[in-house]
Amino acid sequence: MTRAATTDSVPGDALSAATENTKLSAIATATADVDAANVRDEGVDARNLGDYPAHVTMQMQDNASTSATTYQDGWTIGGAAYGADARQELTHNSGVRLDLSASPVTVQAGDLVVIEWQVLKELVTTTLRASSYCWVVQGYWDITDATLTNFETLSGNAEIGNTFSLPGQPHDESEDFSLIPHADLINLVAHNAPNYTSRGYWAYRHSGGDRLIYGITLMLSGIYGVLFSAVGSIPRFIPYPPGNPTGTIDIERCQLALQVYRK
Amino acid sequence: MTFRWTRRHVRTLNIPYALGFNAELNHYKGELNSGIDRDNLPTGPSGVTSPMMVDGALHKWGLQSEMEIDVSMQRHPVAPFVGPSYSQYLGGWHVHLDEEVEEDWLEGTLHCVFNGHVWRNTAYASQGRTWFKFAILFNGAIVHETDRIYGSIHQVHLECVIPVASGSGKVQVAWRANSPIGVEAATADILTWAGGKLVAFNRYR
Repeated sequence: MTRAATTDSVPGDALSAATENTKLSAIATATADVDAANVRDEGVDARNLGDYPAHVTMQMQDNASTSATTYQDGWTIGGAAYGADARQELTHNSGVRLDLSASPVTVQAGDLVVIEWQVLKELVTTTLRASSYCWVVQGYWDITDATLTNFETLSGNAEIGNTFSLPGQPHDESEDFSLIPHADLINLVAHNAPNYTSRGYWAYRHSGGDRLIYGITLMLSGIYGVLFSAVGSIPRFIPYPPGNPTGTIDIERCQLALQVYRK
Repeated sequence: MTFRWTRRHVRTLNIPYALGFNAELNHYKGELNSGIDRDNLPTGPSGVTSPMMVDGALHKWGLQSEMEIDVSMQRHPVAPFVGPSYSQYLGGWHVHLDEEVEEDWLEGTLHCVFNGHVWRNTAYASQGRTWFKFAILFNGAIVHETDRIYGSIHQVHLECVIPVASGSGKVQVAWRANSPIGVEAATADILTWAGGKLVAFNRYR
């Protein structure tokens, strides 16, 4: 609305119902569409905000509180060549999948969507003694329907696997994942790295029509490696390692969270 | 204004008194004209909701995606490697200039997050003494940094909340890796990083 505009009555004027009704109508019009022109500066207080209107949702799946006796140690990827599609969904304990199918989150144009995860790796063993190898945790979501059968990568780029960052391919487009080193220099000989928490963080600003998020999950794949070789050869980020390594990785805990901010 | 009227209702047979009527009406009108405040507005779930608010009413943010090591540090087309060699880099802080977040922030807090993955060459490392660090800068000053990371391949996650004053502010990422230990060749690859996300989230005071 705009401000209500009325004209004062003047003493001596004839009383006119139409004149007074015009004034009341102006006010009625104004009150039907109150906006910033009507509200005093700093006139809105926290108690007028029933909920924090700019924070749409916070959803989290946390396995940390599960008792130790239910841990599924021995999360294994092995046998398959690292370059093959050895991808598996993280199903530790009750599963790290964030199931929103019963009440999907609606994302509107302009919203900031943040998806974060933490994956605690406790133990890795591998047949390959090298420090520059890793596992990859990639974020997926289902934005199709509530059946949760249409998971796709958060970024919309290719799944990490055969097509991931071959030498010469751009790797900067694949940013919806986090890495887990499987050894560090201190324990290089034993190739048995200390506990490591891999933090994934993916954010984007939505554009276009409303989008429904039905579920989010994490996929673990490996083993990938980075090789150094002489200049002129193929050392780019994460090509396939030689040596046909197989390995076992224990994921102890996972947390996965979705936050949506509006305006 | 106040929600309670200081004027009284007109009394019977008093309406023709124009000045009194004006006073009543103008007080009412004044309330609507920039006088509505917390006393008039509802509270709780029926209060102010998101559609009623303008963009940036409570917070604003800046976002950079698909960040990777500066083009100036990449060795194309000399080699397919995307990081610098020891002939290019000697171990100091290198501010990443290709992507940054710069906004006019408002007084409050600034929540800064950087996430990316890093590869550090250890092929020439002597007893594992190669390391790297990352930092978040606000207007050129380091506000958060990692410890030295003695590893080859890592995920880097930096997150901090700092107070900010109103005005323009630039959030950047910087990195460094230790200088040659003595056995590295000038053409040896040092470090590369990619998959970077940088978010700066300004919550107003």
